[in-house]
Amino acid sequence: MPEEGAKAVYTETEVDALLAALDVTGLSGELADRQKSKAGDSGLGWTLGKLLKGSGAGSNPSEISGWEVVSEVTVSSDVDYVDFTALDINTDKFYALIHSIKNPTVSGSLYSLYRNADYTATNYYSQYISAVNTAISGSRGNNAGFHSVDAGVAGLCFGVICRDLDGYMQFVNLIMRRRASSIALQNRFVSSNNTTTNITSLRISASVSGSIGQNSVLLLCKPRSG
Amino acid sequence: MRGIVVNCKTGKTKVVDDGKPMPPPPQDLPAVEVDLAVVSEKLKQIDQNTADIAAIRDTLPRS
Repeated sequence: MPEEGAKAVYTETEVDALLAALDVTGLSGELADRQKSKAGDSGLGWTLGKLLKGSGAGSNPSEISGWEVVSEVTVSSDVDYVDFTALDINTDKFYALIHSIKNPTVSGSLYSLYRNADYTATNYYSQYISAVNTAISGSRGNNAGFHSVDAGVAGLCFGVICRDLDGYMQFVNLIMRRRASSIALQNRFVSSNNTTTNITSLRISASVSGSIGQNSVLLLCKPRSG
Repeated sequence: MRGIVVNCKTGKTKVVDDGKPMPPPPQDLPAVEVDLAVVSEKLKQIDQNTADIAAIRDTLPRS
């Protein structure tokens, strides 16, 4: 402890020890919050598993707004599809899909996004516009294709999925196709051709067997309101 | 088909093989491609042609 009159300098451990010894009955504000926190006081009401931000002395922290990971899949061996189940887009509002995929096969593969186990390609439409150097091309398909990856290379895409206000699935997607001197930009959107009352599952499905290659990463996120 | 199934509520993941064959690959409609470099050259040519026509027109006698 410092001598009387000297400036008190405490380590974090010493402060914690002092707080632990305090009787918080008559305390309020940040000191009380810190002491209660160390004691695991249930009266604080902090939400389990949430990222929190301070709300000022004497107030409980609130949640931080941002994107929360629903699921992260790193593919351990080549597969044909990845299913995300037990979803609820009515509660979650939107999903963001980030998808870094390696196509280890000898054929180019088109990856499709299906929802609620509706794997009939013609129940979806996709539209793309693509730029390779100065060449611009576009087309529409009666399918759910959202990402093409050439044989033996890796691709990256980022998109947002919603169930629109009329019940259609909409997927807005930006794609990095090919790489280095073959770099290609592609925007590819997918829309369902029918409606549902919720989206409870999503499938990313490859057109070529085994073209969701080992070490591919699929990240599904949802927004979190603070 | 062999796939990964993730239960996003429980976090449990399993690899399954449903025994079904791969569906036929989806087909896009034939793409229409435009090369902006070619379009740019054509536009320059049209501009030049327009200028040439205007120059010839200016040499014609006016009635």
